[in-house]
Amino acid sequence: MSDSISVTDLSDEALMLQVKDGNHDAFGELLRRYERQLTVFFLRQLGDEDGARDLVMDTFLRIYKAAYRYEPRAKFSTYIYQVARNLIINEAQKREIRKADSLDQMNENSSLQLAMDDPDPEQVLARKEQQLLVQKALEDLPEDQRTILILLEYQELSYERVAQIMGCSMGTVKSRMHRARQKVREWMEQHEL
Amino acid sequence: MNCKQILKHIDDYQSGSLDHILKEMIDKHLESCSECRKVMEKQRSVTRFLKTADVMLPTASVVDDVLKKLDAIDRQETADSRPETNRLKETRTKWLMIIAVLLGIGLISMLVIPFDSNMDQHNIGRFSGPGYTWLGDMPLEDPMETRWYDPELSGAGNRSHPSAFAGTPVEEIDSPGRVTHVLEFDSTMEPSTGEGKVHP
Repeated sequence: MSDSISVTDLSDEALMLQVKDGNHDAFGELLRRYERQLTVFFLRQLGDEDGARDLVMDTFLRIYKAAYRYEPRAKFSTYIYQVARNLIINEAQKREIRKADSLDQMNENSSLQLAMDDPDPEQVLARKEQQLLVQKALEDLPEDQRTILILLEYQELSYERVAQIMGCSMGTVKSRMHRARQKVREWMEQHEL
Repeated sequence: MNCKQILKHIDDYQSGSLDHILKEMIDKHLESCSECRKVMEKQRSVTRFLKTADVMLPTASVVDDVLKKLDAIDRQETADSRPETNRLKETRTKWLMIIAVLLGIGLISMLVIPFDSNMDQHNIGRFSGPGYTWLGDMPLEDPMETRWYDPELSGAGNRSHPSAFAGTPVEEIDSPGRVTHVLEFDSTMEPSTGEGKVHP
């Protein structure tokens, strides 16, 4: 690759091929492109900032370690979300037995974060409560419905891309999304929201 | 468009993935149908609920931490591969030494251990053949039942070609100490056949 072409000009797939050849700068560029999206994805899944940060790092490390066998058959974003989803499934299994503890920890972390960003205590409290409610509503969903809802609502991916990530048809994605929204609505009605 | 058709497309309408013709048809229906408007409003409330609470992104980036870890991984892999290289070198050296020792033993064997074959002296040289080594001067045992025997030149000098002793009477023996014939060397005599003038 010519030195005159910056890594910022390359596509994700081209960057991964550079990573495959041992280029750390290319991987750094991929990190910067996907860090925010992955953080949001894991935060919505876990509601735990430390856990989300660890999983973002794990996702990137896994991709780096498997770079030698990377083939640009599909979009890199599909690949990275597939890795992220596998990690979240493993993490969910680990956390199942200590669900209550993790929720308490999440409350503490969230309050700390909000307190630093927002000086108004009333606003801090309101946002904290709202965030917790959303988190609880999402936690009540099955993993596949929650992931589809997060990818469509928060990551704003297309049905087609979500179907590729989930390894199912677009029709299945649409029906699961419909059920997920229905459950959230029922949850809201139960909590008089 | 009826209500059933509207409900079928309500998620796509909500997500904005409908084409503009279908969207306009649904908009038109919603203006006149209060039931569908209620359903649509509930859908919007779900989206509003989900999107009201933005996640608070961590202030610290993971990029530097990940890159540091990658460096550590690369260093570790390099460190792990170095002993492997050393082990390979050691193994290679060990095998080379074994091969060198074996070759040395083979060479020494060729030099000191006598042949045990039926090679013809004429074909392989004057001082070699059965009972001789590659060095050619150290028969360790008598390889032939009949050999040229010269009492004057007994011992090491007895290996010379018979023509060297032309005119010298010698005894032929078929076993150590037992003389069967006394021969007189002839320069034309062939050592392999043992033919010559026999003096009774």
